[in-house]
Amino acid sequence: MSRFSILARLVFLSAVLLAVLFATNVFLSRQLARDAQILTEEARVVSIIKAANAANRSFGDLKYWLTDLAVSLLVRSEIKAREAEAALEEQLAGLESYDPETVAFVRQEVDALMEQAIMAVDAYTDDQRVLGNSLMARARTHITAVDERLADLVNRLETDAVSRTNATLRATSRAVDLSRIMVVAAVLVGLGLTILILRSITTPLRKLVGAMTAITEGNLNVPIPEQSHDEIGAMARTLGLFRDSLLERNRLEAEREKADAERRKAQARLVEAIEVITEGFALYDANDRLVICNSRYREMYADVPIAIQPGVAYRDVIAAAAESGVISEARGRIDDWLENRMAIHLHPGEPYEHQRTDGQWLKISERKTDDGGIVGVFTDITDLKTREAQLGELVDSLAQARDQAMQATRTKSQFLANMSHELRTPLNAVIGITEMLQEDAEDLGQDDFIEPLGRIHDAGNHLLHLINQVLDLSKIEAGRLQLHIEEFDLGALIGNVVATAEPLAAKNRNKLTTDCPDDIGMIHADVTQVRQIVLNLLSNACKFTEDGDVTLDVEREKAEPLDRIRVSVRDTGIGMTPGQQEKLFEEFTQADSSTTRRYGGTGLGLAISQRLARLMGGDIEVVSAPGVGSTFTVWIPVEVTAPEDEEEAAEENLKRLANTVTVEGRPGKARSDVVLVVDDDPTVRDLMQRALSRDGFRVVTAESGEEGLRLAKELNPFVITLDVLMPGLDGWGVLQRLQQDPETASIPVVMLTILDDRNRGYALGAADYLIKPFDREQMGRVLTKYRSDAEQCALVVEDDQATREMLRRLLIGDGWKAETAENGRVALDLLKERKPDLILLDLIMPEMDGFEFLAALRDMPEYRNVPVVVVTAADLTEDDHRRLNGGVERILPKAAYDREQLLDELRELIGDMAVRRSPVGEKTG
Amino acid sequence: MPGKTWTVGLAMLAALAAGTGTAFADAEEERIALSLADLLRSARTVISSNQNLINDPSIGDKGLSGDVVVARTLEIYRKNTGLDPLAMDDTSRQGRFLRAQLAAIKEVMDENQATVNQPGVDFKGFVPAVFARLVNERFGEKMGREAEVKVTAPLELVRNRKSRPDKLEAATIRDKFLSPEWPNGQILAIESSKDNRQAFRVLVPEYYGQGCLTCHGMPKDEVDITGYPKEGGKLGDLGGVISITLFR
Repeated sequence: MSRFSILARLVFLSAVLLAVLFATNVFLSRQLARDAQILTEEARVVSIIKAANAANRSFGDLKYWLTDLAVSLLVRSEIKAREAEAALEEQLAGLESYDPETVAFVRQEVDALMEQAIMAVDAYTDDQRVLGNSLMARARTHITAVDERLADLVNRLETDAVSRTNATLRATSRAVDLSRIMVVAAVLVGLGLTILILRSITTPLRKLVGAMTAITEGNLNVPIPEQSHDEIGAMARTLGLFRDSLLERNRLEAEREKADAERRKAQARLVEAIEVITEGFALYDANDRLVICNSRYREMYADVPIAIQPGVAYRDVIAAAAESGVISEARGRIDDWLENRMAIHLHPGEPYEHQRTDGQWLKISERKTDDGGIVGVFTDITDLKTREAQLGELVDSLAQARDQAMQATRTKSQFLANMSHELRTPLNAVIGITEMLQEDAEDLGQDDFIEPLGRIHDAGNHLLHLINQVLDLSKIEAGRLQLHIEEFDLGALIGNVVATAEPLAAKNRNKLTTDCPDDIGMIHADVTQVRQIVLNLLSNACKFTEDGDVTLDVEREKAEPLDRIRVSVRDTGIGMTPGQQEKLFEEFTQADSSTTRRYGGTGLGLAISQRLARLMGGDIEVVSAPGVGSTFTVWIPVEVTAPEDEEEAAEENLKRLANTVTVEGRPGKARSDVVLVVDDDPTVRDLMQRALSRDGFRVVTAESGEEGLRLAKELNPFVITLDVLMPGLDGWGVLQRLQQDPETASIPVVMLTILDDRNRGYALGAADYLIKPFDREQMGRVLTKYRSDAEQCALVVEDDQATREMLRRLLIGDGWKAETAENGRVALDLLKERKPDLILLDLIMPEMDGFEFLAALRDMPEYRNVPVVVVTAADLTEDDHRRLNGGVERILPKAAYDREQLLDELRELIGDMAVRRSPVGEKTG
Repeated sequence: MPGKTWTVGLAMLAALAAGTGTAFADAEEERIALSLADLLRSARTVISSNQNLINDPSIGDKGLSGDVVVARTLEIYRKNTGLDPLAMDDTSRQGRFLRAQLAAIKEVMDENQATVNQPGVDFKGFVPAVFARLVNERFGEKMGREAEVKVTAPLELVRNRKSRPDKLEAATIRDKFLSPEWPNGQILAIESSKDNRQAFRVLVPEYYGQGCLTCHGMPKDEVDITGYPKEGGKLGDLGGVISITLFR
């Protein structure tokens, strides 16, 4: 039973009782329905009896009135007789269903009676008394017959009614007995079930109450009654939980008492600790009332007439101190000082110091507690103040010494800058001139000079390299190396460095492999220094490996706080011992002296690289084994952080540079000296070929529009002559496409056609419009004009004659016309003669240096957009960068490149310049 | 009271009869018929006026012999009509009919002396209507081949089956005398047939006088002195019809 809930049990009990009740009701209802049917039938019989009796009465009335009529002849009697007859008929109709035979018989007899009686009455009315009597005698026979049948009917009905009544009484009595039995049975079943269910509830409930009473009396070990599945089971479980919680509470209470004891102990220790603090200590509550303090604190206010005890307000303490003259600052301005002191006290920040009139200095360190109170430590700093005064004097003397040292450093820096310029300028000249001499010797077949010149060249390079490195290291050590942070494409830089290193790899027959993801992306660092580090590692790997593999891996790594770039250079070279690795990054150190002898080098490269890497927030590590090879790994953050002012300057430079390039730049290549003749007529092509060749032009011909377009892109001619009427793509179509293609849009197009449609030609972008037949002189004049327009002019401003000459030759070799100036002043004069398309500018020059020249140039609106490339041997400081103020196209530090690299850079740059200077949209004619 | 009523009714009847414009023969027939009605009414008035005497149980001989009643009847008749039936030609139809009617009155009264003079019985059932029916029956016995006099009424008012209206009477009462358009007191004289014989028939409406209402008035169905329920009639309602048939 306990498997079911109490509710389920009660529902079951109710259901059983309801079922019994329902069954009893059904039985009684059916019995009643049956009785009702019997009663209905009985009532019907009674009503029939009534009808029979009524018929009997009506027939009596009929007999009476007929008799009365016969005697009185009154109409009223006849009416009454008719009424009685009608009433009789009505009664007979009610009896018809019960005994139709008798009814039919009675009707027949009554009809006969009426007929005879009325006939008799009529006879009486007509005074035929004898006849009337005879007829009435006949009528009486019918009366007798009806009387007998009606009496018989009534008798039968009464017998039937009595038997039915008896049957009903018997059935009712039986039903009553049966219903009594059913009620008794239902009561017994309900009682039994009720007792059973109540016992299933009360028994466990009593046990549960017993357990509750025991728990209430404190007996927590009392057993909890067995837990059933019903509500009492739930109560038992809850009681169990309650008992467990009481046990847990008792346990926690014991623990709390233990903890309280420990807390009291700790509090006592804390009070003791506060007491032994040599500084004054005080804790004020949120209402600024003293909670606790130590003896030292009380001593500090010993001369103040106020009792330092818990509950005293801080304001009262310091007010008493100020008024008693203890506080020096408060003299004469007690209120102001008090307000100021309270403001500091209530909003504590930095430690507060003040001096007392007895010369004692106090440092008051106050902090807010979480509950709004204030804890203060009052330290006697009189000795400290004394020492501070002494230290101040010392600092002054040190500052003086520092200024002197900084002056010396500036002098040294200036010296180093001068040295770098003075040393590297002649060396560049020596190297450049040597190269020229080598070329001349090769051209003149003077082979004896080639080898010595090569040695001079190598020695010069080695010396230049050594000087550069010594100067770099010197700057790093002096902290003068300033990073020039900018955003650049790391992939492009890696490609450039690998291209530079490939000859070195090839020299020792090494295989150089690069693994750099295409999406390595942009980083924010000093591009020159990154380049130098990677190139140094690659150079070393190539130098110390022969017939091996050099692998360059570049990856972007996740790191905190910033991602970083990892560059690994792995070689299969000679490798290093652990001892060698320890000294690897020390200045002027190689693996050992024999290494220097065998492989050359200054031993500064790795030291400089490591310092540069660290300067940018990265580092270099090495893993190596002798005879196996080495792996150098350098990490550089993707966002190198520079000092704030440097960063801003670099950012500004970058923006200016970006703006300049956006306005003027468009990639392309230098214009050739070719004239492209596009004409479908072979005679015209031949004629043009001969005539223009004699006038000194290189001529290429195209016989169709399509061929003309292709050759225009391939040859980049300085001018195109174009016929209009051609099969396929005609001249107008060619002209439109040339104008739409950025690569060819700037090439002047001279229309040469028999069509006189100049307006259309110029509208489509033609530069000139000539009508056939072909006039050789006119064509020559026009082409000469465009040839001179196409010639790009560059101005080299360089005080070193050898470098100046080298740059000039470089420009001429690339199809430029080059002017030279030995300083800024001369350059400004030359500008007046012709506006150059490009200026290559040295910075350190006599009379007017590059900075001054650039400032003057930018002051002249017509020259403001002339691109300027700075090519300098000087080491530019951040201040120098700021002075240049982004007004230059590019800065090429000679120290970062050898001659060939510098020339490559320049070639690429001036190639871009040539394209940019092309007069897009500017047409003659 | 009843005598006064009947007198008024006869006066009206005479006036109405004078207004009928029939052919001369018909006028003679009508005159004869009306005289029979007048004489019957006169005799009935005698009985009516002596009703209390007749109903007096303390008096034995009431003195209402046949001759006495005939004499009082003639007196009333003469007074109402100015005619004397005994002075008429006894061979004429009117003279014969009136004399036969007088003889019937005398015989009925004489034959019912025992009833009228029965002491100790108050109401003896000898009322004007019963008297008139008996007179008419005796007249029929005497002159049945030539003439009949009958007092009938609307069927619902007829108490004795012998007074039930025949078809003509019933139709006349229903369609004419009870019609609101029928002038009050106007008779109907019509050539018709009865019992398969040609006849001249005169129907004279009679209306309830105050005396009639003692037995025929309100409240309806209350049993009157004769033991019959009252019909609920009102003063002036059609109470009966004297139907005279003169066979041709």
